[in-house]
Amino acid sequence: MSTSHRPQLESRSGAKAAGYTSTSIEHARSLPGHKTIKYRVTEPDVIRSEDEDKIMIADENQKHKNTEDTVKKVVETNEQDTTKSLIKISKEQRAKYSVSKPVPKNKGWRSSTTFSRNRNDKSKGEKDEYVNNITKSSYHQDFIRKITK
Amino acid sequence: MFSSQLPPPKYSKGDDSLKNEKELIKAKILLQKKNGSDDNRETISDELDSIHRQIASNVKFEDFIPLRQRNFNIEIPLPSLESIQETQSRTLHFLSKLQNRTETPRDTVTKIGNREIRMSTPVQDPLQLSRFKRTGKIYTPNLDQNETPTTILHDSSSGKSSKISAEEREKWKIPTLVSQWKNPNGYTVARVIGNGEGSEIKEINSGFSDLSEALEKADHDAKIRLQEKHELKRLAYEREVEAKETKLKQLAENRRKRIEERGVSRKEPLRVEKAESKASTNTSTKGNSGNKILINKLRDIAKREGRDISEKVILGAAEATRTPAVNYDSRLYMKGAASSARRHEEQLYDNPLFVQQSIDSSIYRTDYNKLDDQIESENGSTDVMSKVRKETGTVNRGPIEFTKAVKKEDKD
Amino acid sequence: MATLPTHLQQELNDHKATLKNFNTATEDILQKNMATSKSLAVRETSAASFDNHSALERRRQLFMQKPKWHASWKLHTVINGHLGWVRCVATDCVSNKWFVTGSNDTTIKVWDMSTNKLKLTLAGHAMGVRGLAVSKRHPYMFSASEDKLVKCWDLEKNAAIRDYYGHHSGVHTVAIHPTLDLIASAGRDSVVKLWDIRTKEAVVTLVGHKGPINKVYCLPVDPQIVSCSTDATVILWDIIAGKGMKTLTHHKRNVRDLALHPNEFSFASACTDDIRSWRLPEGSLLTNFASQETGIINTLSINEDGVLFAGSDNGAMSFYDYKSGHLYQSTMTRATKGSLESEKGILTSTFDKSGFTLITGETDKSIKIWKQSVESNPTDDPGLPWNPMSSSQRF
Repeated sequence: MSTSHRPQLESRSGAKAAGYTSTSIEHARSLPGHKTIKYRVTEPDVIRSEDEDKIMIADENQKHKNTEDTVKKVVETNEQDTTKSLIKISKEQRAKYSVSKPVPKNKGWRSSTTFSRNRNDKSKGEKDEYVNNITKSSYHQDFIRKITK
Repeated sequence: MFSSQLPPPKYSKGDDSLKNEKELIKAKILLQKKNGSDDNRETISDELDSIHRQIASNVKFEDFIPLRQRNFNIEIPLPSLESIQETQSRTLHFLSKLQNRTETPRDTVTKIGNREIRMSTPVQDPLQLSRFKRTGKIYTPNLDQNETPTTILHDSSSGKSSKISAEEREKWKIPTLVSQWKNPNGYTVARVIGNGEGSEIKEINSGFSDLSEALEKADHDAKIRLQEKHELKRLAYEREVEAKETKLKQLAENRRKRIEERGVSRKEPLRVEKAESKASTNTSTKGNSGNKILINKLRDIAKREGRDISEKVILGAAEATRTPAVNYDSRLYMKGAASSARRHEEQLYDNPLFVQQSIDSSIYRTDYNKLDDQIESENGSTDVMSKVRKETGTVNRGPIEFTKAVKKEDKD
Repeated sequence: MATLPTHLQQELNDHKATLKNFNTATEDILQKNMATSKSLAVRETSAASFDNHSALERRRQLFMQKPKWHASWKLHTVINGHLGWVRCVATDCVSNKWFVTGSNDTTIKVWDMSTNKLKLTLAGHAMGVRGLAVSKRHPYMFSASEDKLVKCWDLEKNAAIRDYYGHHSGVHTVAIHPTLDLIASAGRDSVVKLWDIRTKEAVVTLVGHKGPINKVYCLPVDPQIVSCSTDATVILWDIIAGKGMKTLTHHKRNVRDLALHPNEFSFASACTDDIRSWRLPEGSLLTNFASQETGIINTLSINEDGVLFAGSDNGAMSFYDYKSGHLYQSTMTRATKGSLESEKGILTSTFDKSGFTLITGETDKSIKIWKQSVESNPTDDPGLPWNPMSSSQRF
């Protein structure tokens, strides 16, 4: 009966969980496996701080070379240097992405096209451009055009 | 999310965390009511104060003052290495205790005075149904039992948040569903019958009934007229025919008279005779006078319409419509079809539904007399019943009737 | 009381109305308390408040400070790869070479940080992936999904090796303990579960929230777990006691995100039009951010530099100075070409390890990378004007 369907307005609370009775069922994924944990062996990354005491990592498994030299090396990168490097990077990237728009030579009435094929951009770029709407993407438009002719 | 828009639950009490505070507020209201009447103002104000303090014990104004407002650069250092290590060890210790915890021992014995109390949990198959049924509420431990209830530190009564304009409400309104297909509660639409008092009587146009009546009347009138017409025609025709016949008879008589008197020339009357006899012999041999009428009629129709219809055709048509002289009852013809000629007038079917049953009932019904003879012949006279039958002389199939015992001596 | 400088006095005169109410209220309380001789404790506290924490004093101090300047943020790249909403992002905290995103299309994608190309797609969840966490101490990544599972992915094998089964409904968030081999996960069943990474068992279950939990973080000291939920509370947990240490109820509505400050022992929480920062371990209020017009805030991220980013459900991006609470930049995302108007919304965000790149995951299925514009400086691009009164007190 359709009227007995009701929406679930509040989700089931994990707090009121009834006790789990152990049964003889063994799920394949809960069988013991991967019984050892792997740990990273890389040097820990030191947070920009002056005192050695305030280092976050406390685990013994990791080798931390907590000498003053390494601390100093990290600390020395102050803001000016980072901004300088950023400027460099951004300039390079800007050069990459700059596209000069081709401006057709002004030929007056000759440059305007109505029936000629090559002139004003067939805009090949449209094919590669990503459109979030799947029905308006170039792939779909081509497909429909082929099918519904 | 949307559950907050629903009406509050009917049977549950709701959130009890603010129970104490609510009670305090209620007490406060009561006191305030008493305020006017009572003389001892100081004591009342003291009580009010204590209530205020109790309510506001959790809340301090400092909770609302952001600490950083006065100094944006307050130092809030990350935890020190020692504190981290200490916490780690403490937590590890606790977790290992959790994991290594064994089950509560099956048997525990405690001594109270000189008594020994033994508590033991019996071994129970975990898959077996437990002896105790789950009835009523399930106990869930309230972890905040010892602590004071958490007070809400935001202003939930501000008008902006709760007041929703009518247009906004209209946007979110979901109309109730009226299914085109299902009606589980059996709702009906109220039918308005014309007799209902105060109800709007929707009058059907009288034209409908008038039309149907008129049509019927017209039909009936037309039928009657047609019948009358037919009757008149028939009568007229019959009269004509009669008149003709009488004429012919008269002519015939006249001829006879003439023949008797003179010895008439044969030509004309012969011709007439022939024509007549032809017509008459053809029809009279078959002895059907009604047919004559029909033939004449057909000839007249042909003449009238100016069509040249041959005699053969006319005679053929007449014969086809002829009723036989001897009409046999239709049941005679039907006799073979349904064996039981005598049927109930409302009987619809020729054959019974369960043919097998009828066969069974008719064929395989035992004839007890024959059966008895059979048995007798097979078994000889050793059978009890045959003995009984011989003695008494009757075939007794019902319960045995006991008669009074008669001694042999008496009998003899 | 000392006399105020004239410009401050003028400002105070402008805002006199609000000030007056508060002052009269405090005076009333004082008078009441003065009258009754018994209520000593109250009198003491009120007197103290009058002296040190008076509104005037606080206001004066507020006006004397200025927020730190930060460069404005601009869109750098758009990455279109997912077939569903991008619900969670995490960066590799060890090497900062890649970042992972989890999405509604049930896949987890690993992207290269420098080239922004797809490195790997991990499939394994049956429903949308809601939370990701990359471990610093192990070569593991943990993912939480709406299919009630938390999976442990081995980054050396690129496969899921462990499942943590026990939640009653979808898991929204996962966090790794910094010192112990534990993970904390929470979701719709309003319960925080602590799992032993190795044995896949739930060792502790923390009960207290009354609604689905949106975010969980792990700290190295008490309170070891911080969680926020749809019941408008933020709870600081004591896992050894097994219950909440402190409940912060300042927020009115669904608290959708928390963020820990990388350099300070404090965190921030976000609700609709309400971002607050708190000091740990007591959980006392630090700052009210100037977030009145932000709308529904889906995500919070904090920079080492002290930049707090708040991404909204309607696509608004707000950048705040963490210490002062000043909103210095407010922009809108632009949905990719072909998207609907409603597909503008930020679901998740994170700063990379350096703090100079912001990665956001959005409802138009794209990942956007934002960087601070290098050319801006305090004179050319001062950001939005500083209004200290807007958020100092919020109830």
